Formats: sequence, C-alpha cells, structure tokens
Amino acid sequence: MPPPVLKATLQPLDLLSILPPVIIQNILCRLPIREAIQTCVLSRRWRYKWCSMTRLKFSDDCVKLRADDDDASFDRIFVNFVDRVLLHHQGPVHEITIATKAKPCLADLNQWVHFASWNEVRELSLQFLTGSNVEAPSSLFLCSKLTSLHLSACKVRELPVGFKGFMFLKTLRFYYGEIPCSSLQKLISSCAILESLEIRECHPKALDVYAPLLKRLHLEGEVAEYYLEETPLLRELKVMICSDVCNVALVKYLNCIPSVEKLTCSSYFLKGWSQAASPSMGTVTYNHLRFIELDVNFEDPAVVAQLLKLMIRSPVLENVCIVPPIRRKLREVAMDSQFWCEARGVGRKFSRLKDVRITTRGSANEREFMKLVLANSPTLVKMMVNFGCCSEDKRKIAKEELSRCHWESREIEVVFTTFL
Amino acid sequence: MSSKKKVITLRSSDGEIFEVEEAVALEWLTIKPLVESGCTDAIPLPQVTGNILAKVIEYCKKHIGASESEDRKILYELESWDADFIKVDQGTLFDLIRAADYLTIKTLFEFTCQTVADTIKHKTIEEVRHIFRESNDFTPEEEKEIRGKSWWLQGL
Repeated sequence: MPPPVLKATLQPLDLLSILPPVIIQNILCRLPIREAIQTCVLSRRWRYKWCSMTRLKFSDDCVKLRADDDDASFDRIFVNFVDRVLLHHQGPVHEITIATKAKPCLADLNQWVHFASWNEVRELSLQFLTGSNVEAPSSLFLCSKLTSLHLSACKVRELPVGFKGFMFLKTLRFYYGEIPCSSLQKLISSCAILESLEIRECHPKALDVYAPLLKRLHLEGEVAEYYLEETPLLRELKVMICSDVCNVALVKYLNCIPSVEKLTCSSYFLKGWSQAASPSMGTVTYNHLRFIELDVNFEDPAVVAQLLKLMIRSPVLENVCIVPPIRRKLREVAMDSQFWCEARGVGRKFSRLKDVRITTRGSANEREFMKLVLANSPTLVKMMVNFGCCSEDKRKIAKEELSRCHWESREIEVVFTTFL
Repeated sequence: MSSKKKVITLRSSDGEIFEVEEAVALEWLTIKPLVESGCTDAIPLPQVTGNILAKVIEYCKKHIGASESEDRKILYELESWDADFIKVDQGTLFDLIRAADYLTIKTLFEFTCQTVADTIKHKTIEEVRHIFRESNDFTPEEEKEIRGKSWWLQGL
C-alpha cells in the first residue's frame, strides 16, 4: 500500500505576527500614530495590538479634515482623537508627546497629563504654537517619574505648594514660554540630577542656575543675567544670544576657568564678551576647552580679537568650527594694518589644534585668519574650507593664497568644498 | 600587556565558529558580562544561525566607532552602506531583528525596526496585508463594525 500522501496545508505565513510583542510594539511606535492604530483592521490578531504602544506621539497628522470641516473643527477633532487613544490604551506608557497647533482647554490637557502621571511616564513633551502660551496643567507636577520634560509655548504659573521636584529628571527644555523667574529657578534647583537644560526665548531677567550635576546648557534668546557658579560639572555650553550687550554674569563665569569642554556661541556674544574682556579676562586660560563652534563676524575687529584670544588661551583646544553670522549682510572692513601683524607676532601656537572647519565668504580678514591658523598649528590634521557662500573670484584668491602660505603641520590635509 | 586586540569566539546555533574583536562583542549587552569575565571558550548563541550571525558581525564591525562620528562625510557613507546592507529578503530582515533583540544590540535593533516601519509607512491597509502576507480573517460584517466603531479615526 502506498504511504498516504501528506497534504501540505498552505497556511498563509504572517510574517509580522510571528515576531515577539516587544518587537511589534517597537515597530508600531515608529509609525505615525494614525497608521499604527489602523493596523487594527489588518486581521483578528492585530485587532488590539496598537493599544499597548509604549510611545504615544500626537501631532497634527492625527487630524484628517473632511471637506465640510472648518478650522474650528480642528481642535475638537484633535482633542477627541487623543481622548479616544488614551481611553483604549492598555499597559505601560513610557513616552507621550503632544505637538499641535490645536489649543486644548486646560481641563482636557490636565486629564491627559494625569494619564501620563498614572502611567508613570518617563518622557513628556507638550509643544504648542509659538505665542499660544497654553497653560500647563497642575497634573504636570504629579508626573514624578519623568526623566525628560519638554515644554514649548506653555505658560507655567507658580509651582504648587509642596512640589518636591522631579527627582529623576535629567533633561529639561523650556521653549518660547512664560514662567516667572522665581518658578523657573525653583523648578531647576528641585531637579536633583538634572544633566541637560535648554532655555529658549523665555526671557527670564536673571537666573541663578543651581544644578550640581548639569553637563549641558543651551541658552537662546535675549540677554539675561545667568549665574552658573553652581554648575561645577558643566561640559557643554551654548549661548545663542542675539544682542551684543555684554552679559556680565556669564562673562564673569567664563573668566573663572570653568570646566566647559565645548563652547558654542554667537558673534553677538563674542562681541559682548570682548567689551568686558580686557579688564576682567586677565590671564585666564581655558584648560578644558577642546571644542569651539562659533558664528563669527570677521569684519568686526573686536570679535576677531576675542576669537583669537579665546583660541590662544585654550591650551588643549582641538576642534574649531566657524560659520558666518546668519541673516546678516556684512560689508568688508579692512582691519588696521597692524592687526594681523600683531596677531602673527604673538608667537603662541595652537599646539593641540587638530581639526578646523570654516565656512567662509572669502573676505580678506577670513583669509588672514586661515593663514594664521595654518602657520601656527603644528598638529593640525584637517582643515576644511567651505566656500558655500563665496563668490567665484574670491574662492580663487583664497585657494591660491592658502596653498602658497606656510603650513606648520606636516600631516595636514586641506579640503576645499562648496556645501550650501 | 600585549597590544594585540583580544578576540572573542562565538558559536552559532548550527555550529559555525566566528571570531570578533572584544570591542565589538562588548556592544552586545547579552554577552557583555561573559566577555568581561574573561571567558575564553566559544560562547554558544543557540538562537542565531551562522548566516545571520555573519551579517550581525558585519554590521557591528562597520558601525563601531563610526556611529558617533561627527564627520558628515563618514556619516553619509555609513548611511549608504546601511542602505545596501539592509537590502535583504523579509525573512532575513526579521531574523536580524530577532538576533539584535536576543543579543541586545541597540543600534542594529533600532535600525532594523525602523526599516520595517518605513516599509509599511503611508501604505493602505490592503498594501500592508499584502507586504506581510497577512490574511484578512474578519467577516465583512465584523470589519464594517470595527471601522464604524473607529469613527474617530476618520477615513479608516
């Protein structure tokens, strides 16, 4: 008797479903939330998979307006969408982002953030349109497990009485919002392990930053007095201030030999710094500074002098990255004939400098600066010159001058590019 | 101390032997403690086949040190290398995800999951069903009901 023929049953192989749930969750979290939810109609197995997503990111894509919907419907539909998702959700949530042009009312927002606090969310981000200054709900201060908080265009009033601080918060971003100085100061100092702080366009008048573990600080906007004496571990400082009024407290801090390794700042800040520099800078050296990133107005002697001073006084400086100031038309200014002669005569070398990147307009001052660097950097490995915003004839002159001048380093590679 | 780089031996589920530099193996959190304890025997990886393990090693070798680079050119080259690397059939892709999950290799896990997400992003339900050979086992009435209940999604 012949053996019975085995009939292979052709089960359609569902590739995605054979992956473990944790992987499916990870993939779903990478989709726009509407699309992730739509997987509920794929098949029975997929019916409720989206409900246990651990990252919920609500953006304006959640709303699909129909032809007969007016703009006023937008807020209603968005709010409804978030409500429904949170209602259906099951299991842990680690991250919630709400980034929208809608202006949810305080009660709705409060309820959503309550949901975050019940679920012990670790990363929370509330981002609204600049200028809308949506009031931050009181439930925010109940999210005690937060490690990361981002508030954009939010209004925070006083901190609640008895608020003990975000014990686990490592990253705080406060953009375009409104908060009384005293509250911001209290908020920062109540986050015991804060490592990264970004304050953008919030206009505090003065801020005493008490953050013993802070490593990264970004400040952007108008001048304010920032006191950083209580940030002994600060490694990375970015100051994008758009006024050249001297920032007395910051400059004082910088002149106290901080532990900063990476400094990013604007031409305005350099200018302000230069005004305060001569009497107070003294013989300070920046013994930890390894990386500077600046936009430099080379047509302002005070700024260039400050840049050179900074470079000369940073004995371990390795990387320099320079771009022209944004959105400013600069007229070329011929420096005092003595300026570059003196600069060359200082006799100090950039003894550790390895990597220089400069985006140049090809002006005479920029060329002098590059030549100075080439002639005084014995360990320079790479100099990248980007002619992205430079006219054809200036590019030619610059290339010629740079290839003819003295290169102190033997190992150097000079690269010319034209990125925009 | 010898300046020669320490090599770790690994054995795949099908008995193939691989050698990787210690620095590479230390990125695999699942076997990190073993590596740190100075284990010299071949580490068995019963959930990963030889051909997949070879791919995993290839990826990690390429990425070690390079991912953190700030050099735009290096990152750009790495990106196009990645794009070529991941041109594999779906079975292999899912095996890679499972291997990355099992070995706890964060970069590879995120990259492969993102690749799957990108494949189904902006596709219709029918297209997603087709891509993943998922058969629709709802009755038409059930499907209608689900779509009706999900009115708040609009246009589902």
